[in-house]
Amino acid sequence: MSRLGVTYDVISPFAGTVERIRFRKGDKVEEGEVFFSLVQDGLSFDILSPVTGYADSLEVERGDRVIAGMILATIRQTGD
Amino acid sequence: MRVGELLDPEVFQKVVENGETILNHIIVNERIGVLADFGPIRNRHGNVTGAIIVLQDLPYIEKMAMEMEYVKNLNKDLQGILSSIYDEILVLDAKGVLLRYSGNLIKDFWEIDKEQLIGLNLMELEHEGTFFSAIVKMVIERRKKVSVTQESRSGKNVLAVGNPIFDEAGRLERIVIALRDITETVMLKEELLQAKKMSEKYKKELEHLRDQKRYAKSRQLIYASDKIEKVMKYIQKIANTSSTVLLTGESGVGKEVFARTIYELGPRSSKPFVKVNCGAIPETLLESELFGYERGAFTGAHSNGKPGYFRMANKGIIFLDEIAELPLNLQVKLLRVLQEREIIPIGGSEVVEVDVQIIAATNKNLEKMVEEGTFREDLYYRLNVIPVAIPPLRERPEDIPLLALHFLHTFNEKYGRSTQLSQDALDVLESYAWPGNVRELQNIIERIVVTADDDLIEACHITPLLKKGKRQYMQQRIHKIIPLKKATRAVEEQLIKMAMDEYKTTSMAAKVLGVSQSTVSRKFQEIQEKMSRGEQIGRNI
Repeated sequence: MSRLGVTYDVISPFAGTVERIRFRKGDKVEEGEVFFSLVQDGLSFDILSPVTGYADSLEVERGDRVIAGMILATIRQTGD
Repeated sequence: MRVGELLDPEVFQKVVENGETILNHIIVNERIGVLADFGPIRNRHGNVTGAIIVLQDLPYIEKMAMEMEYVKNLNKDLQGILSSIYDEILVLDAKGVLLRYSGNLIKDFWEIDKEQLIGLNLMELEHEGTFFSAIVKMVIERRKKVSVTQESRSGKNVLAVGNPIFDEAGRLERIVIALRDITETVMLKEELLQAKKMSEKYKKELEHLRDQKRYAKSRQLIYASDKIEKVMKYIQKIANTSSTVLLTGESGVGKEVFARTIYELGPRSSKPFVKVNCGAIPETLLESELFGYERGAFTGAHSNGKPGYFRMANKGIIFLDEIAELPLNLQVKLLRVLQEREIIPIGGSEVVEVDVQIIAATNKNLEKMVEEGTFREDLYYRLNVIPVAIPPLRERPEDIPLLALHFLHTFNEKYGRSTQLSQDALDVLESYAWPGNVRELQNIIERIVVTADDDLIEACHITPLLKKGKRQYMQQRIHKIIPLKKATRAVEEQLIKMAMDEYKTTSMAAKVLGVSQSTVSRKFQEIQEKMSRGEQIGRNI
């Protein structure tokens, strides 16, 4: 299964500003772990990883403005 | 040659019928490129009777024509190539005006005819505009690739990748937006995820069943020592209550086995027994694993919510292993469960009542952790209702042969072997200190069963596997009748060797042994001689 290397996207559910990125490329990420913190209207929201895997790419940087539906990162799923 | 074959008949008509003069008319087709001047020929009365046509061959026009043809073909090829790569490609200028598009239309995605969009600024669109204008704005702002996904009203999932294109001076020149219908991919990924989750669930269930089966086989605790007998009597007494139990004991003494025994003896034996290793689950997930969450509690959460271990264990027992690893913020929440017997799932607003007996276990000294401030005092007292301390294996050597033979039997069966332990081998096992307790014993027996060449295991096979420790001498026990003198000498040898190892000088050794220095000196010399001959010291008991 793992050889398939399916990637999943971490998608921003709304427009906001990237406040914190908790992982770097190549890091192991567990499903449900907080990946990004986004600030919208002064409130901070946690964006969670949809799957367990390795951070494959990071599309944004801290302080970047993002829009709804935007792909913030991709996670390569690990199968076992 | 007839006029229509070479020239535009309309132009010719104008000249012949209206008497017009037409200059610099360009004729271009696949064969030629010429410049033509037309003039009427009139008779005396002024009537047009013919036309004079001057054709001028212009090579550059021909070249131009051919190039135009080439570009036309190129354009066609490009269109074909683009539409086979992506579902749809839009090309905008730096301000967001749609210049051209290619490829097939994604069905049901566009709500207006795309042809109408040419020449319009996508940033000003109302309909799909929110989607596109946002992407265009992002590309202009970030000057970097932007990927956005959107689900249309008809349920189509579309991935849009906006790429900025710069000229030599680094100015934004074009924006290319590639659209791809990923409805199917999204669905497949979702299904794959579900399938994985299911298989994981089945795997867990299978493991659980296997555990149960394995456990049923070795159901009764194996012991012969008074110490465990005492613990068992205590457990039988407390099993009928639903009070919180705190199991303490060194790593590997079998705390889970005792927890299961409490469960099996008690009134909750037909209800679930849920084991949670607090040290094995990442801290960030522990809360949702324990208390569950409601649907839609957070992005990436399972759409129907999750019950959590506490609700899974309702009416039964939850076994919290490695309780000392629980982070402080969750200790508060656990305290609440213990006090109120209710939980609030993450994202939930309603309190859920749970009827769960808690058995916690740890190999850490919780009292010390309380003093250090790493474990909450109030939680400690809540957990410490019925403390059960499980003595380490070295404090109950009577259990060692029983356990060793039990594991030998289990592993023989598992690996299809018929190894036996000699009395010597059992003696060695019994005299060992077992810092890893029952687990270490189990592992060593497994290793012996797997690696043994002969069916009979002797002491010499086991000794190299055990960690050397001073206790080895102390724990020697006598199993057969031997001449008293021989035994006395063996003990004497051991004691003198130990004293000399520890204190180095004969005078000090004599002091602790309570004999004269000359006695120690003489006997130690004998021991050294014996050792130099390769004989073992104090081993003949």
